[in-house]
Amino acid sequence: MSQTTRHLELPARLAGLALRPMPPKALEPLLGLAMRLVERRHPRLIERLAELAPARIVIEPRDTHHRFLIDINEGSAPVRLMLAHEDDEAQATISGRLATLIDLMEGRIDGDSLFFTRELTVTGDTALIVALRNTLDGEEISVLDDVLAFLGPFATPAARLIAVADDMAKRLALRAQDGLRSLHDMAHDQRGPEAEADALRAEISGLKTRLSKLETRAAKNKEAAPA
Amino acid sequence: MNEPYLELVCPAGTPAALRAAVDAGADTVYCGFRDETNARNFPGLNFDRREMKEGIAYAHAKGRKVLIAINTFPKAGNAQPWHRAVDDAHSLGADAIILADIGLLDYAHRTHPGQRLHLSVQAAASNASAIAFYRDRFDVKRVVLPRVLTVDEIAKLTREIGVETEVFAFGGLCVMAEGRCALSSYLTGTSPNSQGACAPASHVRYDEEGGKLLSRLGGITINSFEKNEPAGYPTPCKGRFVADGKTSYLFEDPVSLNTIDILPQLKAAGVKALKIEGRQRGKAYVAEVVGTFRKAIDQLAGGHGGAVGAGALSQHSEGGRQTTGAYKKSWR
Repeated sequence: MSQTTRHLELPARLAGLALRPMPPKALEPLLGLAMRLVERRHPRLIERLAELAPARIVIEPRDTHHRFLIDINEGSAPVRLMLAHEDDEAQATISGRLATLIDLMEGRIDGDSLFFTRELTVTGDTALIVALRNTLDGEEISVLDDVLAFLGPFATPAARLIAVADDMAKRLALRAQDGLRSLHDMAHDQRGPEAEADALRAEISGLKTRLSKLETRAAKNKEAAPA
Repeated sequence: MNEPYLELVCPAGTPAALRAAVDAGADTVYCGFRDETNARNFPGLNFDRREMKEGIAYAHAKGRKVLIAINTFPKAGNAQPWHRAVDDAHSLGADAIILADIGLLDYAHRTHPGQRLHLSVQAAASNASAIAFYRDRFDVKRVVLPRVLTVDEIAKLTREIGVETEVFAFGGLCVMAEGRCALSSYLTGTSPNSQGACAPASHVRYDEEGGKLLSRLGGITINSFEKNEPAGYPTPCKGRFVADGKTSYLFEDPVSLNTIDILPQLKAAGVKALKIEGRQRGKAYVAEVVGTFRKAIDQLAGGHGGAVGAGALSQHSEGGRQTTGAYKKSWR
């Protein structure tokens, strides 16, 4: 697996937020571009998907408010954005958070485990979903690598930018975690701030006593030591 | 080292999963052809001949082995696909072929003398006499034991039979009648034993109704899960049914086998190999489960057993729960 492959939770969340208000007309060219990218980078995937033809599968990233239709035909598997109230006539639907769906596509999460924990919902023709899942899982996909490959000469600076953003996101996440832990500790601390200050004072006093004893012992040792 | 080495045998449903298993530390990978000759005949899964050749080359280049499972039962009057699978597995360089059918074992032994053969769990050979028959007649080198035996029974059997034993270490549990179970066939008309798919996906439906998730097989409701309750596969043996006015799991709960906590006992019982179940699972499952067991086995070999706990794999377990199954059987 490629070295640049990394978890896409944050970028996927941002993408989810960005996709929410986007009108279908603005998204269609993006989708077309993504599909051409997939066809170029993963010809074998398209070949294997074609074996499932004809099939119509709806993908629902719950956090984007959009639905996507994969219309698998012999030799092609175009993805199209669905209108809000469009009757899909699809054989199967798979829904989950966008980041989860990307992880699933990249083979980073096991589909069955997601299903056990109810993070993924499947309706309609289960055989089709299983076949799609297995086909995707058999391919080594990295969304990040695919996008970077498309950027050509801009790939290296883009990768650096993403790495910096990723590190920042991780640090922010850690800080948020620490903050939450402190809040949790404060909320669950039964002693109150005054009692805590008393405890600290007692601890300092104890340490002072120990220090003083150590200083006395050191002085005695110095006196007893042969010249 | 004089201590017996626990060989880690791992599943691969796709070439990518095979590479993931090898990279995560599998000693051996088992897989099957993309047809009804193997017991995991699911859509989009398994290997064509070219992929199998490439997979074997990948594993061999890293000093690992590949076993090919041809472990369903040939149909009356049409054994040809199974014979071809055995011939191809041999010519592609399988380190062993895993077989269940007595006629197929006979064919493989006669046609390809010297080819290492393992007895599949599907043969359901669980006593010394049965295993000795396969050993003496077809020169079977290893038996995959059904999940019905306690650790003490495995130790006794391993001492008696004189062939290697392989036991299931992690993954789904059957209702302890491998090769003989027809429950799924009653609801779907498709046999796990001859067509390779228990609860085939083509007969499975999931529906959201009244805030609950209903799982159905062949139109029959198998289970009903409350919101956020961990779900399981719609296999009839793990269904929740109403009997005498009480709703319960009649045969078995949705739960996965995990032996991490009893690896020292299995090793002491003389077990040669540990099998991870799940050729239908994704490469992420393969990588994580294999990696965790690799660590546990290595720690055990280094005298530091117990550092990796069973909880490490709970997210990959059916229904989110784990068991040591019959290995620590407390019932009669």
